[in-house]
Amino acid sequence: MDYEAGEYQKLAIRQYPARALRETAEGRYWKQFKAPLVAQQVGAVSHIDFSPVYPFHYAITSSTRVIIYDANTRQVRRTISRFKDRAYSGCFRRDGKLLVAGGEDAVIQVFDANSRTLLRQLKGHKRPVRVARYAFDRLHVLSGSDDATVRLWDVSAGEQVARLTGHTDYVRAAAASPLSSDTWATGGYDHVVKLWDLRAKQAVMTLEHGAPVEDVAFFFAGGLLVSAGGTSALVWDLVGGGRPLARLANHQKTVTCVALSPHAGPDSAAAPRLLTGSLDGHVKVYELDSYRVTHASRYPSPVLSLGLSPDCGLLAVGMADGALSVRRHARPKPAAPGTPGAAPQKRARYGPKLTAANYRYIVRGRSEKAAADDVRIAAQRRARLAPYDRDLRQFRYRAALDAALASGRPEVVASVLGELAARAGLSAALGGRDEASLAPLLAHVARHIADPRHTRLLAGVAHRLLDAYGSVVGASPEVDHRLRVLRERVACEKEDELVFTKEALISAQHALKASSHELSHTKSQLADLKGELGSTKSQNESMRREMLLHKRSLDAAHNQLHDREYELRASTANGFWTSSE
Amino acid sequence: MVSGGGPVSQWPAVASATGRFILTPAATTVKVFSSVSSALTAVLTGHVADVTAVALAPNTESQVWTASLDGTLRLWDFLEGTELKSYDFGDAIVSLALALQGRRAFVALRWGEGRAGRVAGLDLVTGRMLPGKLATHNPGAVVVSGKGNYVATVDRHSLHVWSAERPEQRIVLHTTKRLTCVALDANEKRVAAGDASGRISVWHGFAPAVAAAFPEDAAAPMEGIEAGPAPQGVYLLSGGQEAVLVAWQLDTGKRTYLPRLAGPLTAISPVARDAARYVLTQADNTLRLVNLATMRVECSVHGLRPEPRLAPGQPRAGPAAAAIAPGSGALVVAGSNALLQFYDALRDRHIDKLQVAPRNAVSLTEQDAAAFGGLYGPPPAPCVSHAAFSGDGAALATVDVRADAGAAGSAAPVLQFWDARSGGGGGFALNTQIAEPHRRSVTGLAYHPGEDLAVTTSDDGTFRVWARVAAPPRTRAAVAGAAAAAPAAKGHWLCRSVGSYRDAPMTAAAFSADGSLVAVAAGDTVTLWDPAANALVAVLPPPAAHPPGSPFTRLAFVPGTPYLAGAAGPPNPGSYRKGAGVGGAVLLFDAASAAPKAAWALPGARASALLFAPPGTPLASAGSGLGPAGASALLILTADRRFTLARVPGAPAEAAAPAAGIESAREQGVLGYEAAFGKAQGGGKAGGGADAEAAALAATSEAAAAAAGSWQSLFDAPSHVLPPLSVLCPAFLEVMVGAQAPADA
Repeated sequence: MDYEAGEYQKLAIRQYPARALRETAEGRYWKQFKAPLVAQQVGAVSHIDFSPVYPFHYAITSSTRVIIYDANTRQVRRTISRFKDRAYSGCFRRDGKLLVAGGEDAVIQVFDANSRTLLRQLKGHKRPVRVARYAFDRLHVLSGSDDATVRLWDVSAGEQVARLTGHTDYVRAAAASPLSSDTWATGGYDHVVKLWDLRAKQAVMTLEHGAPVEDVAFFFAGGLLVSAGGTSALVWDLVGGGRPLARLANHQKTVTCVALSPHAGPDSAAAPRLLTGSLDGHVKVYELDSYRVTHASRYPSPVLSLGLSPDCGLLAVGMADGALSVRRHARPKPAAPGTPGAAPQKRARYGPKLTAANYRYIVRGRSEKAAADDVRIAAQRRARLAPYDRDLRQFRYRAALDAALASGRPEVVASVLGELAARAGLSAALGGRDEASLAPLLAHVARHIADPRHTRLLAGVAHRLLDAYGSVVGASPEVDHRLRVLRERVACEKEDELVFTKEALISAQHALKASSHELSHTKSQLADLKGELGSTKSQNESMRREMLLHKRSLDAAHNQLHDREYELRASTANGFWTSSE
Repeated sequence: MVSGGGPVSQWPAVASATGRFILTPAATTVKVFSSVSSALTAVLTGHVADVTAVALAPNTESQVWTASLDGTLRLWDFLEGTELKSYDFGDAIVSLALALQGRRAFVALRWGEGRAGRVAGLDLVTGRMLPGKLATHNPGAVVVSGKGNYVATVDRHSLHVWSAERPEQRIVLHTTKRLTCVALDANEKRVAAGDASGRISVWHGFAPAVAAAFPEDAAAPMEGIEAGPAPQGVYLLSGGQEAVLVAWQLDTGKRTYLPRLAGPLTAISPVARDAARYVLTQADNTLRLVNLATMRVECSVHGLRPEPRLAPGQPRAGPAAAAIAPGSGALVVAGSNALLQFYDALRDRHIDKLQVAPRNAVSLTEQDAAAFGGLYGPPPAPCVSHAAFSGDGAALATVDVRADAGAAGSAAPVLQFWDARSGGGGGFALNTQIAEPHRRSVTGLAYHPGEDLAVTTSDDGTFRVWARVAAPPRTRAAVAGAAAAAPAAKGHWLCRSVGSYRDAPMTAAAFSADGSLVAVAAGDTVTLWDPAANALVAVLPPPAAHPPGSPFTRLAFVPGTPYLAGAAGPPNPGSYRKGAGVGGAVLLFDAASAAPKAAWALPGARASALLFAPPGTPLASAGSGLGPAGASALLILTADRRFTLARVPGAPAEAAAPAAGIESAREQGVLGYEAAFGKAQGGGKAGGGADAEAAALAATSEAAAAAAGSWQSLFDAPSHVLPPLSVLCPAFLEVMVGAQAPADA
């Protein structure tokens, strides 16, 4: 039970419901991908792939190069430039050790991601290979080419295993199912997504996207598939027989890339998220329960590729003008230990345990140097009061209001004004101001008085200001100007309200008319019903009459029967008497 | 006996000689608290009216003088709990000072039916009254110097100081402001007086009984002093409305502060043998023991905090909320500064508190009220006006009022929804805050008994239905393999629908027991709505006997019956205001009849809340059988924050006091209600004669068996709470003789 005399309690800043997407928790989360580092490439960045293994280096494909960037420093780590023509779709193996890339020269090349050594060249395609992906078994590569074929390669042997035909145009997208290494999805410019079964070496499902397919991706459980092409992305239910679940038509131009993350979003609502990038320069984030856009961000040129690191710490977007933007989130998601995404555990050192008996225990860690990618903490800072809090604590009410106004946040000003009102300090804070200190206050009032969240409070403040300074109007042109602005804002708001009310009235009138129509309709229906009821009634009447007749005849029969019985009984009685006699 | 609460800081408290105990007047008793554990250790009962002053007898360990409005001065041993001496003055005593090492007592009396005051002296050695009485306009506080040779009192704008040895040697000092408190220096050189404007005046050299002294102002930058300064040598302590204890070093002018004490200070009294420690009496029903050397609070004794105290002219923004939490059965009462206190009524102690609006307790500046000729006035005190629990006690809805920038008395209501914290730690966490749920003040709040649904009513002619939004489903997320390890978050609250009936101001709301109906009072008409379908089900016009134009202020469905009960205030509440504050009455009705079933009179206080304990709570089981047959346990909470379980005379005494309070054994014969409020005025007829009948039948053998039972019950308590044998013996003998008599016959 703590009722003790406490420390100063900080002012609780008012919170208002979000008016726009960016004011929600989700919006704030995605806005925290900050500090974009833009690296200009030679050509358009056509593909971005994050290594699935900590620390999640990422490979981008641009022009004739595949460049591997360091995830910590966001600087170039390795550059692979052994391509004769443009390279396509540089992509990591599941363990992040090897990297496969297609090329304009129809050759698929496999590299060591660390040493850049060329390990295999897989030849067989007739036209440029736009997509090459490692299979989940780490031994096979699937490739799609402009020759409309899909081929499966055995990397260790360096030879083609299967040639899958079925697409009728360029194949531009491929994805391996996380459920089975024999199931693949490919998409092409023939507007379809094909689902292949490699055991039967044929397409088991063909999904009509309706536009040239640019990218496909499996959901994490493998039951759903998303395909991008045209101005929309489609979500397919594979378990339900290839049923389209949702069409996400939120872009103005062609959707070029999709990415999925299993647990992006704020901690309170971390859930799978889908990201799409488009030629209209937007990257949009969808939540996957109702497929609504939760965040959208704009980039300066058409987006060709995007990637989100497995720990949601980096968001990389490649653009058509060769710009690669990489944003970092302040708080990446921790991966569960043991999974490939988790940071490696420090290995236990063997040897005698360092105890306080040893001098080295005392000086431990003193000479250690921070590594390049260590986070440096400047110095411990103690919690400090905001300027308005400091003034409120010292009962300097005018200074507190000035500090709140200087913060530029309307919610802070509202909170300080509310606190001053509760302390009966408003006249101290509002009164006694000169031209220079009155101007920001009047500007704030004029700016926010029409905001319904602040109207009530600021109308009271405006009343007090007019009461306090009404007698000196005309003394300062600056203040007069502010007051005029305030008057205009209020007048404008009133007019708006009038228009709004009028519109509401008109719509209400329409609604009334519609309802009166409905009423008349209902009336006529009622009349019909009544007529029907009348006819039923007459039918009932005739039936009743019939019944009555039946009853009468029944009664007559009954009477007859009764008579007969009586007669019979009389006769037997007579008989008895006769016999006894 | 379930009763408790009540003021513990209405009159100045003192500490025992070593500071181990804090003694404070509490209604007709004196409560003794341990300053180590803050626990109640003893209660001195005997006075028949409010005790107003406690003074430690000098040079003793455990003897204390008490003065009371019943006109008596009594000496007690507070460790033994026995009364030693008694003197009767005949007039109500409001203040007491012991001078000359306890040889003389000076008391301030109410004189002439309370319109004037007198200061009288009593020689405690001889037991004789001193000749002559000092006539004053009002009975003010009487204080004595540290050595005990001089006594002083304040009277309006003047200050009287006299010698304890020769009371006729007296000087009078005058000031321009109304004096509120006075203190005399331990060295008997200086006298200090605080006034209502926040100024402290110090006069030097009063001891030689100089006829005229020149006032010297110490211009204190404070707002409204109410507490008495307590000088000890060079330091002068002062405190007041602003809840800050200031230690003035008079010779150097240096000041030291102990700020944010949360409640206005009304009295300061030193610990006799510890120069560093003082007992503070505060207006928010709190006593604190502070150490001046470390400037820390060492111990706090909290009573149930009073209703939000209003500054003069300050408007009341709404009623103060009171409820009983389902499940725990805690009494939930609003306090000042937007506080909601959770109180264990059975054990008479605090459980928890909930600061609905996190803010500092500050005193108001008078500048705002005075601005523009009082156009805006002081703001309303922040206060929780409504609180409602969900059926299982896992959620709480509160409405509190917060000051607004608008004209006088304008306040913005804030509706908040709270979820009980999981994990057994208790407390509530804010779920949703809705600023301005209605355009005007909120008049009623009801929570659905089964679902997460709440209804608020307002003066603006609407009622709103608030519903919890279902938490976002995680089904597909689970399919997609997300590691959603976070606990299932509860959804937030949204306004689901708005209703109105002929634009009449809505004044109250109530849910039926099954939650299928919500009754909303629209003025003097009651409308019934289906909360699920948002449909108006029925309209109940005001009954024929209903005075026209008086709106219903409370509605309730009577559980188990087809009745809806409504309470309506008078059309013009001002017409009844004359009787307010004098006393009140509680009537208990059966829903089916207009004749009251039971009645209780509340002397000295009006009832501020009547609460039926929800079934299944400890309070309900403690109160079962106390009230009339068929009624659940009824808790009566008065305006001065005393509470008791309503009990008809003759109802069985409670089986076992849950908290083995020290007085539980001593007070076995006293009925719970009577102990708190005096003799009941009316009562149920059936229960009333039960005791008499039992007495009449005592001669029969069945009664003998019953008597044997009562003999056992005499000793049916742990030995440490049993009263002394001298008290028990007569009762025991009486029972035994009564049991023997029929056997002899």
